[in-house]
Amino acid sequence: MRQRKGRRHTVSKSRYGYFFIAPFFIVFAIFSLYPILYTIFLSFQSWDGLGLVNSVGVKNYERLLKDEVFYQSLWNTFRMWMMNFIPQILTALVLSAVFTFHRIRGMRFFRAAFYLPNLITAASVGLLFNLLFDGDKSAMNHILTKIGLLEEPFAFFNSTVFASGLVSYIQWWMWFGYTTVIVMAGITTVDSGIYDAAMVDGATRTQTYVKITLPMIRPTLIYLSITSIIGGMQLFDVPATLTNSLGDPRKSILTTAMYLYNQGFRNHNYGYASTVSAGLFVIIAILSALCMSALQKKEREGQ
Amino acid sequence: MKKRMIALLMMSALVLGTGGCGGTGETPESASPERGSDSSADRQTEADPENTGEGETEADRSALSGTLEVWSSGEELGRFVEGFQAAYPDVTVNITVVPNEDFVAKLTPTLAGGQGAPDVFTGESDYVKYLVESGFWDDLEGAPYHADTSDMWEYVASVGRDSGGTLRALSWQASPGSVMYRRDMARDVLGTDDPEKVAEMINSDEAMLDVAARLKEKGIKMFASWQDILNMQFSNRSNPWVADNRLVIDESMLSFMDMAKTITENGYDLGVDPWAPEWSAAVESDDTFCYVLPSWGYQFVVKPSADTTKGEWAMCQGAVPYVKGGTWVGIYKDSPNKDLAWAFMEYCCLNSEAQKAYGAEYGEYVSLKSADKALAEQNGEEVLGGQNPFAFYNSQMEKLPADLMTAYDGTINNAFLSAAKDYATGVKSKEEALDAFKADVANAYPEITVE
Repeated sequence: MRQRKGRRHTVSKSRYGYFFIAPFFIVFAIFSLYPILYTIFLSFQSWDGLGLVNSVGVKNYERLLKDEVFYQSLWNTFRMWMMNFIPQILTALVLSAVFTFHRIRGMRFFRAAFYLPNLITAASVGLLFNLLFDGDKSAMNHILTKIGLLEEPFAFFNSTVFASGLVSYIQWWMWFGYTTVIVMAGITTVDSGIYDAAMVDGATRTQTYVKITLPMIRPTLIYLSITSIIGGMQLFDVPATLTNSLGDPRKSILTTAMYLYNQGFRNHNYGYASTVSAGLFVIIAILSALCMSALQKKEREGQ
Repeated sequence: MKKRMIALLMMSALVLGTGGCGGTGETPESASPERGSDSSADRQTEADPENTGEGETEADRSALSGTLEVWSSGEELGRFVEGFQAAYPDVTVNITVVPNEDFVAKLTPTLAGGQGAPDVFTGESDYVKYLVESGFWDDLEGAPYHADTSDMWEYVASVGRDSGGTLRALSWQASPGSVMYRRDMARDVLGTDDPEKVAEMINSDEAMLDVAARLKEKGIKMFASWQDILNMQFSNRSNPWVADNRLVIDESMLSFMDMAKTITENGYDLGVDPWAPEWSAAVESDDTFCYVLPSWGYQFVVKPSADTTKGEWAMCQGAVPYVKGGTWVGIYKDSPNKDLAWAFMEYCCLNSEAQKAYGAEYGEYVSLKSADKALAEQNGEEVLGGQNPFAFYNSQMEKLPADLMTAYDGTINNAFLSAAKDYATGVKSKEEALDAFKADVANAYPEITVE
């Protein structure tokens, strides 16, 4: 008898739990899941946006596998992400070490100041840097020729290395504050008793940081890496507003999201654009899995 | 094993979740904000206050009432609104200006979905053929419109026809082109500023480059951007970009690439892209000689910026007469307000008085022959030192070649300019640039055959 009563209590509690989480899942299903499934459906069709939807089977995917521009855009995106992420993580680790282990006056101000670039709209930033560098009479050319570093105006946006590096720089500038804040938050979760033990054992500050703090905040680093990969591989707004949204010069800053946007909304190939986005999803999933297993493997080896 | 499966599932959920919502990363949404969608009130105060529309009867005006939704990719259509509302006091016109880059992206889903589509919408020359063929614009020669295009310049109406010959769009403007040059620099270097004589000096590509060299000696760059010249060369072709579903690269395009290279190597232009701030600001500069732009170029680039250079500009013919660009407008086929829409379209595109007033105020070349002829009789423009642009354009319209526009023009032009730029700046050889161009076109439109 008592057991039955216990079971009834348990069942009724779970039911309310489901009610509480239902709103999210309903909204997710309508606004995220359905469009994603429809995109996958579209990837097997050919559609120009205004005409009829025609099924083409796997032809789009065959085209995708042979599409050099797609692979180039993947490489561009990955390269720009890498050049942004590594400096970002290093900066964040160094800055958070400085902030946590030294008493810096005005630390709160610095932390807020570093975070500020994250709040600016990426499209405005792209436009800003375009105005700074584009053309013979641009601000940068003016300054550099006046102070004598350059003899004549340099066509900044004709250089693929420069354009790609600039996008990475902008991304670093916008996100390093956020990464620093998250790492600092992760460091506060480490039990301070461990530091006392390390000090007793005679560890230096650097050794403490590298051998104790970093491994202890591994979950934070995993979170940062995976969200950075996912966001970074979807990069669109900064390169699109920086030059002419075709990835010029010579497609060096054509990201995959830009490529699929152009295919869909400029060339009216909605079916193929959906295929590109499905391909991008697969790539991001693979990269995230690799990243996760790499960071976790280290953990297992450490133990 | 089970833990791994759960971890994998959670990771997919994470990827789907942050991928779909764009969590902490950047999202692939359209980045450009709709700068133009201010309230239509701003636009109405700009429109010309002169009286228009003597053609309509009183009965028409009082019978029509309601609200009309108009989407425009530029500001010009909004300038007709005030005059239209004076003629039709019970009709409210809501104009939404969507920037041209986003126009198709915004329009296509609404047309395909059928929800929230405007009653009237425009189409710029880059993609007007695409919209005309799509069938979402109503047939304007059928009932109840019965459009009469006899007073309209032929090419304007022909662009608005689809491949079956049905008239689907009209325009309030025609866009013949010219070379707009600075009189003071012409007097200084060429010895004359008379449009006829200057036209003789630049009546071919070689002649233009000779003049460019002479200007360079005096430290003046002839062109604001060599990419402007594509506007003119566009009409110099004997074939459109796509014929019988295959890509055709006309001879004139190849020689244009060489011209671009010569200009870049010798520094005959500013080294910027059109519509960059520096390019627009060159109107007032003291080292840029000319713009090669169609009629809207005068209206949007030269006239608004000309301040100290008022009276120092003039128009003449370049190597060839040409027409480029323009915006067409049509009525959405499922619109519930077709009578209102037609009243508006008729006012903008077929009403000679309204166009005359519009052209006089804004200096834009309009699409009705009668209006243009009347405007040619009036005074010249102050910015042009008294030259009457309408008279000039009228003479150009006689000499125009047939229209060679296709639905693919927008993307193909961009790809071609990109390839030409690589060749002009010396990054690629001509064959490499052309191969890259062909690959781009094949990539964008796999249905076109590209050799």
